[in-house]
Amino acid sequence: MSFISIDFALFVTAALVVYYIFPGKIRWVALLIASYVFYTWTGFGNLAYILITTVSAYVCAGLMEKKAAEQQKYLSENKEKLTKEEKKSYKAEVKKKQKLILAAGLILNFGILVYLKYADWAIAYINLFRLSRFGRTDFIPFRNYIIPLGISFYTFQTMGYLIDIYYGKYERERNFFKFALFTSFFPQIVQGPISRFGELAPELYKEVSFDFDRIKSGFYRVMWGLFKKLVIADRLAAYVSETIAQRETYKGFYILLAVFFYSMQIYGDFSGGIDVALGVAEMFGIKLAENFNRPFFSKSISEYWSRWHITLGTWFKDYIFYPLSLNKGIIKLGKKCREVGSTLAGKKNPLAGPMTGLGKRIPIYIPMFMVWFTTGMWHGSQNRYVVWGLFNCFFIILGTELEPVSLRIVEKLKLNEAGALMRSYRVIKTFWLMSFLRIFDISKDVPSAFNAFKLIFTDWSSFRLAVVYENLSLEKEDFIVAVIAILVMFIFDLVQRKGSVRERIFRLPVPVQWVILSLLIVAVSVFGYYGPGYDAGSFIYGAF
Amino acid sequence: MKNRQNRVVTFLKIILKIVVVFILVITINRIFLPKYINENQDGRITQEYYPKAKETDVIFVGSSTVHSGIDPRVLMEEQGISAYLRANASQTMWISYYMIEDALLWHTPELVCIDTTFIKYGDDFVEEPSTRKSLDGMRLTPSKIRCIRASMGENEKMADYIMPLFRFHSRWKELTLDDFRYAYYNKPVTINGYLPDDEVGAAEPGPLVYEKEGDTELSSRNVEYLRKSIELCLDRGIQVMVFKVPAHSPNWSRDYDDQINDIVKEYNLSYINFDDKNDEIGLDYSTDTPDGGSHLNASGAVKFSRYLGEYIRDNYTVSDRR
Repeated sequence: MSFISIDFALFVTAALVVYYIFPGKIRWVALLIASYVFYTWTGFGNLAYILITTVSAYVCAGLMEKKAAEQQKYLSENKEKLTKEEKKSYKAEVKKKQKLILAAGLILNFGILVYLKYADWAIAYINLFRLSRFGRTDFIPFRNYIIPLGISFYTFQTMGYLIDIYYGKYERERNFFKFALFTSFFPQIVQGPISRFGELAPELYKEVSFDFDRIKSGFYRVMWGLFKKLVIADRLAAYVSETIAQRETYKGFYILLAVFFYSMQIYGDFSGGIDVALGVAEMFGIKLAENFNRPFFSKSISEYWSRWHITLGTWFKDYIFYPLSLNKGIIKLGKKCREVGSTLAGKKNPLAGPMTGLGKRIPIYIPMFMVWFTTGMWHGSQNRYVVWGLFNCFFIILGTELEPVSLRIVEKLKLNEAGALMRSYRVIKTFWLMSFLRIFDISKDVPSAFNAFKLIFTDWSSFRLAVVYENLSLEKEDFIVAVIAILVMFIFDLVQRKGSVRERIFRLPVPVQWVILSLLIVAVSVFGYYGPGYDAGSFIYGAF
Repeated sequence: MKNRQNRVVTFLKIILKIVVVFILVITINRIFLPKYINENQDGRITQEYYPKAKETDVIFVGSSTVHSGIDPRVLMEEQGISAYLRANASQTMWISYYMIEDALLWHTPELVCIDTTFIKYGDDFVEEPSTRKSLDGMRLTPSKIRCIRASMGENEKMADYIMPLFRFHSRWKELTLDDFRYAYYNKPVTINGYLPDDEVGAAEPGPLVYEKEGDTELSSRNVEYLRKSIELCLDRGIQVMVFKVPAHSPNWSRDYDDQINDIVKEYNLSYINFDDKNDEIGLDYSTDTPDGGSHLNASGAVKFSRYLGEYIRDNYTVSDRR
């Protein structure tokens, strides 16, 4: 069931009615039923995967807690008998067992995810290796698995919970059905956000009372999400894909326009989908984590990634970056480099400085490399995504390393770093850099992406708007609507800097509120790309 | 007391808001629905029936051969018969059935005439533009829902019929003043469902009824809906006439006539293929057809309606409204 369907609208309406009919204390049960109905609707076969994740995480969390309880009991019973060393050794033994349980849970669940998503990718490489090394043409057939809806999202969310339980961050959820709701809450299962147990659980299980204003507010957000998805993203999709596919014919400014439009498309698509998810959750009185914070106003790539797909970024930071930064091996390597640096300094070797610097940076850059490699892989089982991830990593490191140089230049030119001019420059630079990196997203492979990038700088004089209208699936009227809609989105984001736009709207006189809502409904229902005649695309991130 | 008053006010406000949204949605739907005023006028036939339902004694259902071949003005002038043609282009037997079911919601006529021209097509016949023209003007009732379910194609959705905006919102680029002007004002363009055609396109000489080769067995769904149509009328005490509008078409076969005859006999009814009365009607397919014999033009319609009026008057009990 797609977010953009009458089925979904009817489903949410029915779920809301049932939810508010249920007594307050057990409203979460209605949500669980709704979530499983929703998930079953996407395909009965998908149910097995989410059930495996739910049951395995529940069991592993239970076993880890049991070990902790046993430890507590044993230590309190033998408080006097055991020496400090024996207690330490016992604790280490228990921790080891807990680690094994955690590893089993992670391997099982990430194993399923990796197998489903990357089996064909691996098969392609195995076939290539067999062909080049042994000349074998009896290729292993591709599996062509259908990826269960939202598997990356619920796997990451549930495994995050398991890791947190291991570290004793939360107490595990003892009620299996409540836990099942945490893994399957339907608005966020399609494309996130990836919530943390500590934030989501209290929201899911709390007693919610009916509030029309909250439903109205959620509805506004859903409509705004649909505006971004249907009026902007889906309108631009055909132009982007056709231009990139025919880049040898439509080069120069056509590709630059496609790059710009793709940034708008992916933002409209993904943040629009998140708005729908958050808006629907809000109608149920549940606040989900924000996933976007006006990313196109970022002044650096690091800042951009702290504002785009925020929950995935923090997931990687918390569960990959920090554990790796604190990894004994990596710390040791950094230390070793610093020691070599000081030895070289003693010998007045010019490499002493860089070596010491490297020593300081290793605990940051190695985990960062791993985070970006994994981020690339998470986005898809193609090399272009990995290259895209590593380019992001490269530019972040470059930005960090060149920052002193950049600051010196600003100082020499007597520019005001905090002034509007410099801020605008940094925002525009970051936007275009990120947009250019997205070429890997829209190209079919890495060479095509480089080729598309190269072709941007050729033959600008051939650009004609008439060609866009006639040959590239963006008629004049659609082009005008797209430009206006992008401007509306830009203004919305600009206003949002000073606080929630919806709250501002709700402070306006009621008739004005209704005019705004009516315009939004008309814009979505009339100018949206959906229904016969338009092939409304599914959400791009829904496939991850 | 004050608390209760506040609750009532809040409730009324919510209702008002829902009504406003409802009106907005209906208005947008009406603006975007094709108006079928200047072209595809058969799209108006279904909706123009409702204001005339109460004064209709005879309802014709069928396909385009009916709405181009029967002139209700002739029926009224010469026999005092008040008739309405609920017949759209490519109207299948199942849509015809629901046209009757829908008509009976508003008024009970004295006679229902079922044209069988389209009975020869298969069970899977779907032609979205024609289905839309038949259904877009139909009022939203359970009959319409059932009709949509029976008629829509594999890739069509019920919601697109109930909310035409979903289907036609892409028309925003081609909206004209007429779309706003006729959003609520229904300018009649048909003559009780009749759309006269003044063109002349002579037919090639040849027999009126062919011995069609190949499989001529009527499909089970067509037969089912013919039976359902007859039974629906008989159950309500309405007289039924099963007929075929005259045409000069190589697609018709005597086998069809025989099978229809067998069905209607079970209900003690008779069936008439007016091709067999061609000489008495006086049709001349060199002047009375606009398209080589598939349909009748205005002059053909006058001739046929004159004969049809007499036939109805002689065989059925229908009020004389003169």
